[in-house]
Amino acid sequence: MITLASLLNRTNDFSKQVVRDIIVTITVLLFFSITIIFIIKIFSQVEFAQLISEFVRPITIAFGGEKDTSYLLSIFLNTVPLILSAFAFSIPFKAGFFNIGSDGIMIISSLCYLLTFKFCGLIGGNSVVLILLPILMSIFAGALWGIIPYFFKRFASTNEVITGLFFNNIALISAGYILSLSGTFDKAVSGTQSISFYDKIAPLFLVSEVNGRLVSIFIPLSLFFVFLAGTWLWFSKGGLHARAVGVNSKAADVLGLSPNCVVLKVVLLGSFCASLCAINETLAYSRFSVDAINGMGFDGIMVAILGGHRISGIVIASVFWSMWRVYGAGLQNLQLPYETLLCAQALFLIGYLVWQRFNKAETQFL
Amino acid sequence: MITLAGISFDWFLIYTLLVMASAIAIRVGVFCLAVEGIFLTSAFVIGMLTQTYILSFFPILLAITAGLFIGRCFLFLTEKLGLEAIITGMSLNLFCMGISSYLGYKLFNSTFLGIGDTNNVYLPLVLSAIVLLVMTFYFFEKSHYRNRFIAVGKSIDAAKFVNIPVIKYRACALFVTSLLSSIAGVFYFVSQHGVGNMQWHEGIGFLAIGVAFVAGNSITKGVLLALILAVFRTIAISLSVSKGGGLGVLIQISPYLFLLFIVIVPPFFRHCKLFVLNYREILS
Repeated sequence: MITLASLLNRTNDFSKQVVRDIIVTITVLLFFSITIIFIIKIFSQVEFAQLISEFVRPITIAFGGEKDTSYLLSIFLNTVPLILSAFAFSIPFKAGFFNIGSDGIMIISSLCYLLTFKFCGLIGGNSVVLILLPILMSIFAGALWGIIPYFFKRFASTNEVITGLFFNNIALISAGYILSLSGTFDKAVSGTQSISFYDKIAPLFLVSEVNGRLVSIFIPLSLFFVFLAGTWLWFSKGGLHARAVGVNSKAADVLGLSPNCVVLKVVLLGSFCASLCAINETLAYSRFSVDAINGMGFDGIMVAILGGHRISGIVIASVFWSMWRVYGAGLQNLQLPYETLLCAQALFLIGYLVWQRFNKAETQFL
Repeated sequence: MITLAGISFDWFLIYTLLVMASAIAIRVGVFCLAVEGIFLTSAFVIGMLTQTYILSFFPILLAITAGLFIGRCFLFLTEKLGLEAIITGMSLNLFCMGISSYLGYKLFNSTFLGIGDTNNVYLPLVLSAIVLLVMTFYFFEKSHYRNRFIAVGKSIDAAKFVNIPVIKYRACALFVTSLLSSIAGVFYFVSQHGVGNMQWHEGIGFLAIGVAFVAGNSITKGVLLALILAVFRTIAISLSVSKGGGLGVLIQISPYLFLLFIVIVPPFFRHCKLFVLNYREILS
């Protein structure tokens, strides 16, 4: 009974904390959004009301009279890779590993998915092989690429941020080289033509198209797996060990937790999330798209920080940032270049970190 | 041959400026990823100014001031507000990329900012950069301040205990870092006869930070590695031009592989003096 009572108390405390997190996160994000929109207004000739109405369009669609469900669906489809990418950063980060190499993992995974799919198609594999083998190979390749910075850190004492940045560039250039072997590099990079596999994949994955993105059953599946990973991190004993290593690895070592094994485990889990993100993006555009993948790692880092490395926070921050991305596309209709969004992203992050600093919010950075 | 030597020298100077800038920041315990952003900003500011003015002392001064401003922002955010250096550096880099591309499109409707004749400023710029490098080397490596800067990087508490003003020393180091990175950006613009869009910077700043890390606490070893990288890069570029195709693309990753090779080698070849780089002291 005592255990049950304490469990109920803990649940109650936890739900209060979640509600508080949600309210605070939404309020702060809205405040920063309006501030940044105001800054955009200063540097452009567009009316403030026009900028605001474009920004709150999802809300007016959801609760107002405007009927445009594809717009909301577009926001949701942008949210999924952001959640996956945020977990790819957040899970290793909690164990003290700064995984900045998500971009590289995604590039390699995406490329591996396409090449395996192409190979399976050439040898005439059946439906199960066409679905499963590319996914498994992609996850395997992502894991292999993801653990390289870990091994550098462990055996050569190298900083994982530097090796991560190096391996991002190496992945990008290597992917270009591999694609150039089949003579499709320039076409794939420019996005004018792709290694098309829509005809083959559509019947297998129940694919349909929304605003230029393909929707498949892999989206709910990947979300399920990533929430499983998040639940493991926050609510399981293994996750507790990982967080303990992140807080103080020497103390964890004294307690017999084996920090190296724990870090390896979370790095693999982070790579798994990054691979899922890559597969999602590859399926969404049915091609290897550097433009879609490159920079997704940084977006994930930003979302993870905005969400305070918590499941609820990451989901809210992902939805929010997805709104900003769709808003960025809308800005182009208002004759504002896409680079405005990059500046907004940077200002957002710096502003949020400053706010956290002055509120002494729970964060590993400060 | 002379042309290749000239290109190698240009790259050597750019790498040396950036490596020394990163090494000085690392020496006082700051991981300054913003080196890339400072480098990019100064190159773009001088690029924009030379579309209107003749390349002379005034645009160079303004470009360096812009770089110093970004460095000052980094210092304010990390030292005064206590934000984490990696995330702040990444954010500033992103901001610099965004703002430079935005202004490039907005003002000139172009992705490439180029200039013609650079001979009037090339030699004075090279000479000033060399003088500055020598002075920086002397100040951070040979003067009695050397140990104080190292003390700040090793242990803030110990440094405070012996009455070293930590924030002032860090501010001084970051000022020098910003100055060197800004000059590197200006020199990059002049040596390349212009810069392109936000993709142009090729991650040179990150590579330089990597070199500084590999070289550990030693500026001399950093400069030596910068020389090797510059020669290596010139050969790689000339090979990629002559060979072309896939091999040309593959050659681009060679500088990264070279650095990673150096990181792996020391544990196995400790007796080889060239590779005994004391990076372990600061990386662990």
